Order: sequence, then structure tokens, then C-alpha cells
Amino acid sequence: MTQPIILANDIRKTYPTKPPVTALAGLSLSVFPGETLALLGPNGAGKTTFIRILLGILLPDSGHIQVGGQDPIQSPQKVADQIRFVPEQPFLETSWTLWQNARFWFSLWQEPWDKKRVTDILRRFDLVHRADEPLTRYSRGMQQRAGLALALATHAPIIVLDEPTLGLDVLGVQETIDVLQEAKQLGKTILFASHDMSFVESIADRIALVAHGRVLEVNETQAFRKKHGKEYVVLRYRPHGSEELVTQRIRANGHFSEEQLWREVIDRGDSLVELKRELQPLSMVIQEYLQHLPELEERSELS
Amino acid sequence: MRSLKTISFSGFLYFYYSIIAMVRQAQYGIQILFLPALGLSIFLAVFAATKMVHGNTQTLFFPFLVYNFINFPLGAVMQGSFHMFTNPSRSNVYLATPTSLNALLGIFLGDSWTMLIGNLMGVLVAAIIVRPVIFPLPAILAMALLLLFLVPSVWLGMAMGMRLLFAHQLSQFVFLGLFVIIALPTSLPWLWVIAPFTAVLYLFNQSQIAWQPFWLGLAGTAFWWILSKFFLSLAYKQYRLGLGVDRR
Repeated sequence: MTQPIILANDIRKTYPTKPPVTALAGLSLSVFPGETLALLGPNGAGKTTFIRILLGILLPDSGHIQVGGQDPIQSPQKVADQIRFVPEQPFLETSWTLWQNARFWFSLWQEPWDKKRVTDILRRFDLVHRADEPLTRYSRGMQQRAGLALALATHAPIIVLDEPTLGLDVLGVQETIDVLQEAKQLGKTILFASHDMSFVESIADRIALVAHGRVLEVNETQAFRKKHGKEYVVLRYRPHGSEELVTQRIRANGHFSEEQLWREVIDRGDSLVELKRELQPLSMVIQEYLQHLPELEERSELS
Repeated sequence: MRSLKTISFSGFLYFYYSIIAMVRQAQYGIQILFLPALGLSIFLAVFAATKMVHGNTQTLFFPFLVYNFINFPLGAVMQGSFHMFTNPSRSNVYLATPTSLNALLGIFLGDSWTMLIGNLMGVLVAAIIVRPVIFPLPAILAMALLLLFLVPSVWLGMAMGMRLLFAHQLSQFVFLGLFVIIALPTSLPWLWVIAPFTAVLYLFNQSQIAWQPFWLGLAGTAFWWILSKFFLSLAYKQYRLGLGVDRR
């Protein structure tokens, strides 16, 4: 069986503040080479604390952790050789060009400068034609993409991202998904923290649900979705239908209305054909069929 | 060795690219002239006060030069370090590099030089105003000491910015209060060890090479290297425990 590239066992961390804040209460996790694992959880769940411990920046109170066979507590520099960390904010120097940033960050990462490799990656991410411009002229999403591209251009096998979609618009989120799909193609191991469920769904191979400083569950994305996902139909009401019956349905199902659109949770296994038949006398049609992972705040054990 | 190479190379790149960026930004207007305003405002205030009391304004130049070489590595780095460590997403990305804290040292050194270059204009203005008498050989020794003192100043600035919750206010105090060096006695051998910049000031005012203040100043600088490195290690150890300026 493949050995995990990241192995954390019973990690505990309480910040020595007044009053003390417990961030991790026995977190255990394994990440295997080449996989993309999402740490999914609400704010304050302990995701960022775990990442900081993984990077060797923060010391845990107890527990064991290994990254590629190295201990980040004892040898953070050896771990740093294997990991590229991309934080939630764009980290490149904005007054410099992308080429200048590339040269600078390669020196910090102690990577041999390989212009051809960097050019290939920048071309792959559609950045090479603007690499001579200062980053102040880039959008936030583009700056984030540029940072990620440089991290991917190195030989480090592990990429760690903290909330990669924070503050990005829809286009920026899609760009990040595209970049991470490319990273998966490059065979990198990716660990990222996020509370954006649709983003997690679209990129992760496995999901670790984190809350109160512990991993509550780890599952493959498909299985996770099957277990926790809710299926929705978006219904459109035709004004010439029976308003009374529609109102009754709205009340019965507790869904919300917005102009003439309704989103209604349906039970898994419901036949859409049956649903259509049921909706026909109400003059309602299925506008869209959606599937989502649960809203985190809806889950009582997370809050 | 690997760290030293990274610090010096990344520090140089940081300085070089920042200067290029500054020059590019300078093309957009005369706002570049505001760069030396920070240090120069202190000089002009003291100059005016000295003039008012009919004091010797010529004596102001070397303290101002020394002030620039200490304030920016210490005060400005303290402020920069504070802002960097209160924004963990920015500091952590540097700390997660193989050279960790040394990566930041390279950056702060590079940044100090960028600021010094910016303030060189202020030093030139001061030189034009007071027309100082410079003796080349003692001045070379004095500058060597001053440059060696730059590193512990950066370490101390980094340590305080990373650990002290009021480092921002403290850096402002350093910026305004450091010009007190003008009033320090410069001929006390024990003070050359404790505050090596007094030896620097003494050397600047000599017409011949004086070795005693140089060696004592050098010993003092070595003492500050050890002390500030200890403070930096301690501050980072406590930061890793969760007691940094970004604590919850």
C-alpha cells in the first residue's frame, strides 16, 4: 500500500492567550502522493492552524506529524524543500513584474533557475504574454493565479493552499479551478483548506470535514456528496397556474421564492418524472436540477 | 552557507527590483521627492532649532547620517516586521521557504537599502546646507562600523516587530527619538562599546585615523550582533508557540 506523504496523528494546539484558545483538539489525517485533499470546515475550525503546523511555522502542544518522512517541528527547512505554500492573499510583490517575482521567489525557494520551465508553466496558465508587466496591472484573480503558477513551476511535490478562492469573483474561482486541475495533471499532491463547498466539490479527490479542531470524517468526494449532498430542483411558476395550489406547495415544502423561481429540496431517489407529473397541475416546470454538498451552517455538529 | 547565499542573493534581488520599481514609479511624477521627506523633516526641525539658538549647525550632519543608517534598519524594519507578522498570510509564505526566517532577513536588509537610497537625497540636502568637513580615512572606518551595525539593527527590528504588540508605536518613537544621538557624548570609551554609533560619530570628527574607538566600536558591534541574534531567536521561538503579534 502507498505510504502517506503527509501523516498527522492526534495534533493538539491551544494558543497561550488569555483566555487560552483551543484550535486543534486531536486532529489526525493522512494525505497520499498525487491526491488532492480538501480540508472543508467553517471559519475557526482549525484548518489554518493545522496548515501552519504542517509548514513548521507553529509548534503543536502534542501529536506527531510527518511530511515526506520529515518532521516539520524538528526540521522545518527540510519540509519547506518539499512544500510550496500559497496563502489566501496574493503574495507576490505587486510593484515588480512577474519575471522579477519568479527570479526572486526561485532564490527564496532555493530552486535552480530554469527559465524554460517557468516559461512553459506561464504559457500553460496564459500568463507569459503579460509577464513583463508589473503585477499592479493584474486583477486579484490573476495575481493569485501567477503565485500559484510559480509555485507549480518548482520541483516541490506538495502544494498547500489556504482558502484559495477567498475574495475572488466567479471568474477568479473558475480560473483557480482550472489552475488546480492543471496542477493535478502535473502529478502534484495538493492539500487545501476551504469553506467553499462548490469549489471543494469541483477539485478534491477526497474531503476531510474539519470542525472544533478535529477531523470528523474523511471520504472520497463522490461518496461524501452521496452521503451529505442535497439535491435541489429550481422550479419556475407559470403565472396562469393555480396560485392557491402553488402557495400550498411552497408552505408544505418550506422552500424560498424569488420572483417566480423556487428552489426546492427533493429527497434522493425521487424520480424526476414523478416530480414533473406532480408539478403539472400546478403550472410549475423544472427550470434546473442542482446537487450541492450541505451548507456547513446547516450542520449542527459543525457550529 | 546555503542560507547566507540565499540571504545575500534574495536581499540583493529585493533591493535591485525595488529600485527599478521606484525608478519606474518616479516617471509618473515628482512625488518621488517625498521619499526623503521622512528623515529630512527631523533634520530640518533640528537645524532650525540649532539656528535659532545660534548653535553650530555644522555638527548636525554626521548625527543625521548615522541616524539614517540606524533608524531605517531598526525603526522602519520594526514597523515593516510588525505589519508583515500581523498579516500571517504574507509572513507565513516567507517562513515556509527553506531558509525560513533568514528569507525575511534578506528582504528586510534589501528593504533597508532601498529606503536608505531614498533617503540619500535627504542626506545630500543636509550636506549642501551644512557643508560638512569630511576626513576620508577616519570616515572610511566610521562607515565600516556603521555598515556592520546595520545587521544587528535589522535583527532587533525584526524581533520587536514580530513579538511586541505595540511595535508600531515603538517604531514611531524610534523614528522621532533616535535623533537624541546628537546630544550623546562621543568621547567615552565605555559608551563606544555599549552604543557603537558614538564611536562612529567620534571617528567622523577626527582628522587622523584613531584605532581605539574603532576597535572598541567593533567590539560593541560584535556584542550587538550576539545580543540581537539572541533576541531574534527568542522572538521567533515564542512566535512559533503562538505568541506573535498575530496572536488571537
